Amino acid sequence: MVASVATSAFFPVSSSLSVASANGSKIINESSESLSVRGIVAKPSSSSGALKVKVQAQALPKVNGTKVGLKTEAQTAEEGAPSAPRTFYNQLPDWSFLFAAVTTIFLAAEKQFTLIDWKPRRPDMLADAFGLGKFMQDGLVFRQNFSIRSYEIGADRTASIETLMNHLQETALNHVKRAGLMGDGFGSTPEMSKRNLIWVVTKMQVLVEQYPSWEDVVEVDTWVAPSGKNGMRRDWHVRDYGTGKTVMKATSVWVMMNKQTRRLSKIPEEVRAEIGSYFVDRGPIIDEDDRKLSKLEHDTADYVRSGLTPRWGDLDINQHVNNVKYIGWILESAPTTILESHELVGMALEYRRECGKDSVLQSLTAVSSNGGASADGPQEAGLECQHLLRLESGAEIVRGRTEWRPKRAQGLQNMGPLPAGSG
Amino acid sequence: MAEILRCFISAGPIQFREAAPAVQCGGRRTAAAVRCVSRAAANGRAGVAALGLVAGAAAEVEEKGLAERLRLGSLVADGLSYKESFIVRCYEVGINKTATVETIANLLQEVGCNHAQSVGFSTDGFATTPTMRKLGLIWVTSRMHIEIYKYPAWGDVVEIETWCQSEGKIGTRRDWILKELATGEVIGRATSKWVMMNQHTRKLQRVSDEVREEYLVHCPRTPRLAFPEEDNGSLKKIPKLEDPAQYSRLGLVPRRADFDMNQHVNNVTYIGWVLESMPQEIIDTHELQTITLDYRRECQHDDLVDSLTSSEVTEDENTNGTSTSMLHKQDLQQFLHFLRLSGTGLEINRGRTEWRKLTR
Repeated sequence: MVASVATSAFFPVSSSLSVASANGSKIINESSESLSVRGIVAKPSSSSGALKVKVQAQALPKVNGTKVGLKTEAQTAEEGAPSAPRTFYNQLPDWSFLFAAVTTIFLAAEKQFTLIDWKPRRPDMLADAFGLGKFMQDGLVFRQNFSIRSYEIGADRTASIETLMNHLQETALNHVKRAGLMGDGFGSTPEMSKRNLIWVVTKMQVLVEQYPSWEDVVEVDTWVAPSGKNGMRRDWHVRDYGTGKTVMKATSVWVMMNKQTRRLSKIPEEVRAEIGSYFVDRGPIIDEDDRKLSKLEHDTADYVRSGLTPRWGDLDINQHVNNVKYIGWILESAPTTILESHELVGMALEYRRECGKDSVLQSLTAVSSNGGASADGPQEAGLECQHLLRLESGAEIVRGRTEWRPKRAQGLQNMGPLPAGSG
Repeated sequence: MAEILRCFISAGPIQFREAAPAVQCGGRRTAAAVRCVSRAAANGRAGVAALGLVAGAAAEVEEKGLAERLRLGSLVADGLSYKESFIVRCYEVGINKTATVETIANLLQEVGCNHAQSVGFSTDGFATTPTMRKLGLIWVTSRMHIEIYKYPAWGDVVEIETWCQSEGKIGTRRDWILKELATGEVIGRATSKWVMMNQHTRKLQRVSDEVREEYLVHCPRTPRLAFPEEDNGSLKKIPKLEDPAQYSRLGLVPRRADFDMNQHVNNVTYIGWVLESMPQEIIDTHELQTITLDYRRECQHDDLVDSLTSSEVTEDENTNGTSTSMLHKQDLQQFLHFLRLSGTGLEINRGRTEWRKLTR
């Protein structure tokens, strides 16, 4: 079922990438990259339990300024942690080193002073505050909070869909890490890493009920379940921390793949032993939408946006583009009129292939209306769009479908500049 | 009530010429700004209200301060600077397994906004003083200088302190210090210069005494500099790089996510564009230690942007014209940058970066 659908989607096609920069400028990245598929879980490997200890240590400062637990744990962690690429002070100009030394001295005094002001309310809120998350329900559900930062807001003053999807990714990784299952940092468990196996996302479905605003706090719950015989499903439920109301629900399907051969794999018994106990016996949080995602072509699309290229900041440690970026690119070709009048409430994605720094992408969108018009008239009806993100050379990256509803708070939309005395 | 610091967000760079759609300062969050006003303490020492974590805060503050408590930011006791801690998330980490410079810049922006809000500035999201609003004046960034000595990794907690001061007759300065919360080690510093501009005429304006009084109460009394040392990089002039540039990336396209709600490109996006034309061999072997950007003009929705880079020659070294032979005495590579509108060639900003070798 799912796995078999995924099978056909996943065999990478090595395409000749045109490493294009416009107008004949000097080509910077000449290596052509053979495309390979990877999963959303394969994210930066700041590895290991040692790091985990360190972070927890940070989260528990003592109110009176005594930092007994803090320092020692951090130090142990430092010794244990594998060295990430860092620069050492002895490589810096001397003044910088002196400045740091002087600052450290003042800091010790300052820290005493500022910590006194900060009275933690409850220990679990502290852990949440630093975004570490915690296990719920006998360890089967992992929960983490995020406060929406100012730069995560989109054009209409609410958190963008990319921000929400980023939170899902962070929670998933922290779930794996806190369960002690972080192998080589790709979201692969130790037994998977031994066998060069990775999880790869094939499908994602999202339903948004309301978008949070700047400074809202969202609470994200995540859990895993089996998907067929050899797949895994990961679901999320995002709520507004203050009101408890649902912000978003999401469900995703993953398959196991050998990262060298790129072939799909069954779940080995050893891996099943590691993760089986984490599988929850629950149906998907969103009813699966069985409708096929159609393939768009240039002539069937209503809008096309070409020349999309990854920036350095879009890449993860393997220099592959973070999956969440695809969503931004998909929406690049959605017409501005829809973005201004409607908000995204549903999304279904099929991941086919991934891309790297040298890829040049094209985003296609076709618009169709939903079946019934709402009582408010045809303008108030929902909309549906079909999407395709592909390389300009043709290879498909993601197929998608989005659903939109008219924005509710129309009053907020036309807020312009300064209220006082402005034109 | 003093407002200085305007959020860094869509700080439109200075426009010397033609009118373009208004350079809006930072304003995205009018809804949140309303909350902020009610949060500001009645006695004018808004610091008290902002310290939502202090027991005994009013019930209203407590309810509204949820995000503040969880965000762990507050004015320092003397009310003259603001500190906040952030945990680095997995999607903010880049190819070196450490936070990207864009992530750092975003956090600087965030803490600047939160500072402004915590002293009761952003009633309209623009961090302008009442006098400024009366006169239609806004803050724009003219220079940004960031130095990072140690990039934080996923899960690290960074504490950022920020404050502002007046700078000469026409500007203000916002400084930041970044520390690793666990060890207290300084991992970075930054400074930015802001000038006041009339948003209709696009002309620069002197900071009047009225405005100065309104915000001085929130600044440290004696000069406090993130870069106190003489001859520091944040003051160096940036020349225009010579034609032809060694490396370029032409026709860069602004994405939807790059724009704030006033349709101005976020400052952090410019940083990404400046780095686009860096050669792969440097990106693979070095990490960015310093970036200095002078903002001149901004980019609109339909513009395309060219990013140009060349090595910068220092007087100590010979060069055969390739960046790999350029070695600063501390093994730093230096580059000059230029961003321009593709169509007209007009300068958007210019910059300088320094890169240190990665120890792997």
